[in-house]
Amino acid sequence: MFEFHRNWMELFFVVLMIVGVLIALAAPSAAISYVIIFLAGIFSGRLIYEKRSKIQLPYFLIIISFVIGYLIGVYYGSRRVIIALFVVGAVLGYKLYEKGVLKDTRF
Amino acid sequence: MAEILDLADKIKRYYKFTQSELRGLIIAILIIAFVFSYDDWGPGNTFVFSAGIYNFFNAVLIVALSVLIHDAGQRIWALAIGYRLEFRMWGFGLIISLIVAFLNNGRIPYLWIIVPGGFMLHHLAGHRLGWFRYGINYFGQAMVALAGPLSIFMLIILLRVLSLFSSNPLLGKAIIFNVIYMIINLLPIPPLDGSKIYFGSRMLYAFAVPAMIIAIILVVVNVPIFLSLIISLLIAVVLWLTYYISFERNAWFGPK
Repeated sequence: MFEFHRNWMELFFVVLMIVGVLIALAAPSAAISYVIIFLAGIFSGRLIYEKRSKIQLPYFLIIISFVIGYLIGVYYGSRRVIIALFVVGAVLGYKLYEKGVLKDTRF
Repeated sequence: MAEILDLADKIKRYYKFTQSELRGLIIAILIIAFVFSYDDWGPGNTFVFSAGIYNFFNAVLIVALSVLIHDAGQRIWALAIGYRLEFRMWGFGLIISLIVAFLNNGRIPYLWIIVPGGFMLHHLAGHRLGWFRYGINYFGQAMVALAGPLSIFMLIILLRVLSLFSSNPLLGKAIIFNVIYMIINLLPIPPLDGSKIYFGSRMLYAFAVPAMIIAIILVVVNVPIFLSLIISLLIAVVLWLTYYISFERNAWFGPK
């Protein structure tokens, strides 16, 4: 039987890959594909910053699954540019959170 | 009478927006209005700037009315039970709503992710004297959160009544917008109101959410308002009992 607490990473891996494919397929132009992957990079940078002192591997794999799904589904735009923009976004997001420029709102 | 005077005094003293709240509200209203009017920048795929600006202005009015009424309901209820509410814009939520608008590009109608933000409660020490649970607690927070969708619910009923006397298409748009705003706000995703209700009291969530959603659907499909309230309450009671018997009772007492 599927045990969520043991297999959550695999589940999110598949789900986010499918989400990545669907988002990439829905993007109507190359510019929007680039903007979305850049913002996804910033979100990923935040996640990695949040988990910097905890176990990171499952989160890395989940993030990579999204990028793989996005690369599979993308129709407009270059795949190399997409990878580059994602990495730039992730590094930028991490640095902005580290320097305190971007902050999480606590509700 | 004393309670009403006390509430009026609290409103006079504490019903103010801080600079960051005002900034957050303005940004949230403008972004949501843009998302709301995304398909109205000209007929079909043509872009007409003047028509777009006109529709955007209308959208700003509708969104501002809805967001401010939602906020006012929560703010007044929070003051009534001795808390001060602070609105907080949800930046990531607004970015997600923009992304969804761009991706959708008008293909699926009414696919608006309307998530302006959440709220934080501050304890008004003197005004909580005598309350059973003196500090900020989850149930109090749930009640404050519930006041937001309830005020939107009342706004929808008001707009529905107005639409019987006027055939202005803006009223129809405002009703659809508010229905989606209310339903999205009731989802149990932090920092939306639904999450605060859910974590405050699952039983309250199991009752209030079906009641409001069913009532609003019935009101929108032209069932008389009083009848739709009665039907929704009956269905909500049945769902609430089903939820209690099938899950909550076991969760309270544990497995046999």
